[in-house]
Amino acid sequence: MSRLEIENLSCGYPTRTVLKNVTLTAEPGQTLVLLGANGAGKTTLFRTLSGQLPPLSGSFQLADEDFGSLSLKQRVRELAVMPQSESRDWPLCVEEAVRLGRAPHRGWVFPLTKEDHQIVDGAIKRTCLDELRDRPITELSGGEWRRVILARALAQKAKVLLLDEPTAGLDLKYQHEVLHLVQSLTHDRQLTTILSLHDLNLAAQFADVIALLGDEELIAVGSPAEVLTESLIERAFGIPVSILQHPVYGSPLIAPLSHWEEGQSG
Amino acid sequence: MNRKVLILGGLSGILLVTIAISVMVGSVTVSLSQFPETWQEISSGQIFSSHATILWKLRLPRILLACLTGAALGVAGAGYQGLFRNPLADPFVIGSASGAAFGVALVIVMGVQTTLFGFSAMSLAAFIGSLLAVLCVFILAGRNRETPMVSLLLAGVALSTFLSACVSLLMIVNSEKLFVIFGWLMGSLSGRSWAELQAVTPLIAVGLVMMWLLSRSLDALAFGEETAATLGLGRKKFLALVLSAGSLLTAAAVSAAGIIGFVGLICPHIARRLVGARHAYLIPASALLGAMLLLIADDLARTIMGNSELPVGILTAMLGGPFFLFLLKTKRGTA
Repeated sequence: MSRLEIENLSCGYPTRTVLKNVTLTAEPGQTLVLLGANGAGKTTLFRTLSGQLPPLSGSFQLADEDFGSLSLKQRVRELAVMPQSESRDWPLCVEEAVRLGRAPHRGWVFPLTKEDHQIVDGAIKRTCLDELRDRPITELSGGEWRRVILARALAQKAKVLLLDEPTAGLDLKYQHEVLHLVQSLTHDRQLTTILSLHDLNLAAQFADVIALLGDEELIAVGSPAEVLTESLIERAFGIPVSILQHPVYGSPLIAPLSHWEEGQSG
Repeated sequence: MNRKVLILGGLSGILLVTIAISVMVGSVTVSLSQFPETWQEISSGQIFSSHATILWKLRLPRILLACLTGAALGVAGAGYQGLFRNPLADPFVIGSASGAAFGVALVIVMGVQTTLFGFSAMSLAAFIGSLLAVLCVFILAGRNRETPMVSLLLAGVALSTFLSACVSLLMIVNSEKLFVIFGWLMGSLSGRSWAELQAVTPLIAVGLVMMWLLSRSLDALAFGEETAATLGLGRKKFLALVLSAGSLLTAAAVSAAGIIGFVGLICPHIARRLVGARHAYLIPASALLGAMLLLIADDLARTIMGNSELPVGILTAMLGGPFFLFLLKTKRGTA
């Protein structure tokens, strides 16, 4: 059970601030989706939270423990990260890839224990990868590969999951498959999940909380219905939209109005 | 997993058979029936017959040195391919070979004749030159306390080109020594004795164990540097360790046998086909294959031309080149 509290966090690079004064709380068991146009700072925020970039100012705490004070070793046990594009340079098999999730606990030299193997087995079963166990990761489809990364995160037993565009490059079915898996893992294991998405409709359907980024800051935080409004979206993405309602779930459904706008102004 | 251990066992078996055959063939053939008698003579310590002398003083140390050198090159290749995440990397990718060549050319031109720890002046120059070149590349590639992998590769290429030009210059200016330098550059195990073997064995042993202990970190790097870092891999320490192990192995190999190409490039590729990409298996498999390949090439080098010897580097490239092309043609996935 660890809530992630971000306080007045500014992040970016020494020469350029990307995000200013972000204050945001992510609760365990909830899926928090970051939305924002390209360059709004989603990836920068992820990099800061995962420790790749030092924060410019402000802080963030996990379960009341300041992250800045945690050693790299402690930090990697708490946080599992799926970067925007993760390479798979060598044909390791699925099981070998998932096993590497135990490295934060077991280190880089000593062999895995029986307990480690059980955790790895559990992670593979939970992500339905049993049949692909011996398949080289270089031969997996995009959807299967995302599942391997999630399995590795489960094997890592991290409490916080940071997923940078987990649906990029996936077809409709696999987008939903991956997000559904993320959602149910978050719920079952009470993980604190933060993910970024490009697709507003996916966000509307899967997010418990949405954080909208724009103009170098956090514009709005709230439920999908609260954040996905015509004015806020236009402000963040620079394009007018019309909001409908999902016929089955009742969640917001976003229809962009780019052509209509051009006709109006022309 | 069991299958992979079996394959490693099988490779070890084949290597032992290759060693046994290598002991028998050569300018003087020792047949199986003569072997017990010769061996008895050797183990008694009273070596008089020419058979026993050739076997014990010339052939055996050379065979063992071929195996060790081959293993060192295979493992350095596997380590560098893993580190640079590049199937084209080989033990010489960051300047070891040209550093060694420059050192040797300098020593030959200056006519230095000292020996130290059983090493000739040339071997020493190769060892030191190789390590210095890697160190230079490492320092040149660093910026803002970071050392990007691409910079390492580029600095390696640049320094290699520069040093090769220096070697060519030395060869042309001292044309009377051209053949001595050239002969060394081709790589050879001719005339190596127990002294050389004793000198390089501890270095290579340390390098092999070090690289094997880095297996899991090298695996993690397959996901890219960013992910490896989020799994807790400390970049600086890891980079320093892999480079130390790799350059130690390469420098030891180069000092023992000169520049032998291709072994370090192709062995990891063959190994990956046999036992997969996990470095805990890939590294021992590359070692066994490297030993086997260099031993076979050296057997051919000392027998194929009758009484004269071919430089073994020519043979590894002549065997390795076509075999590598065959691998490329039959490749499945990204091996």
